[in-house]
Amino acid sequence: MGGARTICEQPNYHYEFGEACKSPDILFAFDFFRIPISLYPERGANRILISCSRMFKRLYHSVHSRPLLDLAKPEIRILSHALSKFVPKYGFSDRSIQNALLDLGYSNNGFVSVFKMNGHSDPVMSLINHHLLSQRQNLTLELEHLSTLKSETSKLKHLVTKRLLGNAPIIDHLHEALSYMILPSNMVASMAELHNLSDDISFYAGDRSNDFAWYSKRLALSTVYVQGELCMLKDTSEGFAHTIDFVTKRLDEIESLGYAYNSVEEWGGFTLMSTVNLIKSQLVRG
Amino acid sequence: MIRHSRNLIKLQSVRYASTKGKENSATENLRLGYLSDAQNAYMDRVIRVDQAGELGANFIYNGQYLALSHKRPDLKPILKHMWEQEIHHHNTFNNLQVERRVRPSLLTPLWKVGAMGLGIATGLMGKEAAMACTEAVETVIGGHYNQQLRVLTNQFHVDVVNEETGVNTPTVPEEIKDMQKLVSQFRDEELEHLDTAVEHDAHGARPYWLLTEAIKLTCRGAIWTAERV
Amino acid sequence: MLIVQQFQKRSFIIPSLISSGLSYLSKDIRLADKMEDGELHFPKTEFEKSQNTSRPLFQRPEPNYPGHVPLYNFEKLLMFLGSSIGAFVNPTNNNFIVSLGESTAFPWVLNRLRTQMLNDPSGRQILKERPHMTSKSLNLDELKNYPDNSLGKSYFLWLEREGVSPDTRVPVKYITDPELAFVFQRYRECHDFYHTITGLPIVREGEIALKLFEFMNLGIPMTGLGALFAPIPIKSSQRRRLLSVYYPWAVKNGTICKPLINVYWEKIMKKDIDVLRSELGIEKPPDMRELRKKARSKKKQVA
Repeated sequence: MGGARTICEQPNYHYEFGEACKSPDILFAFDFFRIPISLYPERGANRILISCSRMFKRLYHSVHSRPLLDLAKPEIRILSHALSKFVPKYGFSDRSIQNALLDLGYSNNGFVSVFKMNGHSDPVMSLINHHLLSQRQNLTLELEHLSTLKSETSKLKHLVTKRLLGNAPIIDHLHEALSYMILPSNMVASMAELHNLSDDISFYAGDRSNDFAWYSKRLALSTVYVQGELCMLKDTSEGFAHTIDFVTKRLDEIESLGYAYNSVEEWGGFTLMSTVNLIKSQLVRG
Repeated sequence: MIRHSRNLIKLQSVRYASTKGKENSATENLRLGYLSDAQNAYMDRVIRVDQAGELGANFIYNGQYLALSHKRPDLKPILKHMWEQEIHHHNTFNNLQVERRVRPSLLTPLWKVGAMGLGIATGLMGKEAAMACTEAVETVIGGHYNQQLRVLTNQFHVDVVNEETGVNTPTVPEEIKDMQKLVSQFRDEELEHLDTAVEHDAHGARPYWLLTEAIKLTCRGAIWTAERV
Repeated sequence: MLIVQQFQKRSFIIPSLISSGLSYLSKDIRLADKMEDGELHFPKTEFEKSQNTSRPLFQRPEPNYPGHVPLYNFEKLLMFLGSSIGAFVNPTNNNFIVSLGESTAFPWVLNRLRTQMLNDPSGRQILKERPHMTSKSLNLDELKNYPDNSLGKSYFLWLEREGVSPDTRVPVKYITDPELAFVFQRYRECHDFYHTITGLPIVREGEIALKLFEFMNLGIPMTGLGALFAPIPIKSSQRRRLLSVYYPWAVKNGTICKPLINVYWEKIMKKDIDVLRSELGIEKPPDMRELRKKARSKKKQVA
């Protein structure tokens, strides 16, 4: 990633996503992100920290993320290979990993280290987790396209659809993956990943909520996603059109729910204000 | 693994060293480390609790303004000025929370209701009570910001390894320095509010000790909760 | 639509909240707490860097002062158990009481005492100068020439009456911090002066009464334990006298008198003892030896 340059020259000095970095490896594309709503970068050493008159704050933080999946590590490469080549055939099992090991030229002795190194004591869970992480990472490739969409809901639809379609290669084994994930020993990890997914999707769709809506949005999104996955399990339509339709409808419902809630809140506030003013006017009357 | 994969975009340290004012920047090959899990956790906490705190302050001044604007129109400019500064603070932290993908406090509706109620109650109690409430809240917030500043100053070094020589000089990254300046500036403004409140007869409130200590206790409890929940 | 009806409604919200929320947040909370307490990423000072604190396993830490015997926590616990039983069964053996005192002298107790000393001018002087009481430092030979009713003369007379010497104090061995060890040593050395100023003899009964007095004033756990359990195995007449006369006296005087740990005894040897008592707020209890003699003679008369 090149040598050091002055702050002025760095492209990642401000928030940017969607712009691929120098590396040809597509999985590192998320290193630089651009938010469509970001401000114009302010070159030069005097960075204005905060300006309340502007709605979108200058993001003085240069954002640089730790790579989600470090492809330099052999374990990660083995898991990716297993996922792409062997899981569709043999499912989420030791067999896929072992085949991948042999395929890439490692000896069978490496089997234990593959899943131990990832912090999971379990090859199946490490495969499933790798699948979840790589799918989440692939969402960053959509960011370019997302900037063409206008509303937050349309972005959400696009992202959820893309994520669900990412399950397509392994759809035959998705049921075993899901049932494995809800085992109590794996529950925490899978719930955390679900939260990460909905957090990422909400963020890329441009969610800027600051209060309880943050939680309700993510919860609703997780619900929709899980329902979509479950729907996908039994879906036999072409290109999972039925699932996509279902998910789209759910997201529309969520949007209208949100709109309804905001309207009720507004109405409530207005009524309260009017009541107070009415009382005040009556008191003034004597 | 779970922890590292939590966020794709997470505030990490500056990728390249800040080479402001250094001429030989182009030739230096510095590899900056990332903020550690603990540092990230603390940053999240800072933003979460400060957002909740400024939200509370915003709503307190809102309540006080609503309660007092009718009876004491002479106080309107002062209250409005302090309120507007709090709105600015609140907006700052809102934006920080969104940028850094920090989870906001779960009990935000509770803080809204509580702060508004406190503002209105003290406003209805009178000018002195409102000023005493401001004094209490700003005292707690001043100490709180100071503590955060201490940690931000002392404990946010990241490894900066010169790739040629292999020498590691831990430095505080630019973003953290900016954060320090921000917190320091806000702390100064809060203490200014404190002085304004005292100037406007905060000590005249009756019952002074009970009111201020109860409000301070509530604030500390709210801060502790917002840091965690 | 068929498919939609087929798929189950799963209870999803509550389990997800519980399982993801609690375990997910706890690690962040712990780490952030540690950061706030300054336990992580705090840059080491030059001094700290020069300290080589890493030690191989199963190696006792270094002594912090001459005579220090560093103990592991389980050893301290064993010492407490052994000395508490031993002190109860055989209180005349000094070792048990000494060990009980040191095993129950928790850092927070001694810290409290040290703070008390730091808050007082003469206490500060004691901490600074760290005087150690021996028969030489107290000039026992000169004390007999001091005016009657002075502290020094009373102390000398008391030493003669009870037949003890200030040299027999056991040095503190098991307390980790050197300054806190000194505080405890000071308490041990001043014990004789507490006897002098209250007039209690070194018989078992007197020691117990003095223990309660010390507990009310200084708060050292060993004294409290002694006051609580030591009256159990003694004679019932003595116990009655203790509980009716001396315990109320000890509670009252121990609470209201000034902290005795701050008194720089060596420097006020010439002071009149009654004046000293009134300054400190101590009333002299009934003379225990007299009461015991009276009780003994009454019993002889009856028998």
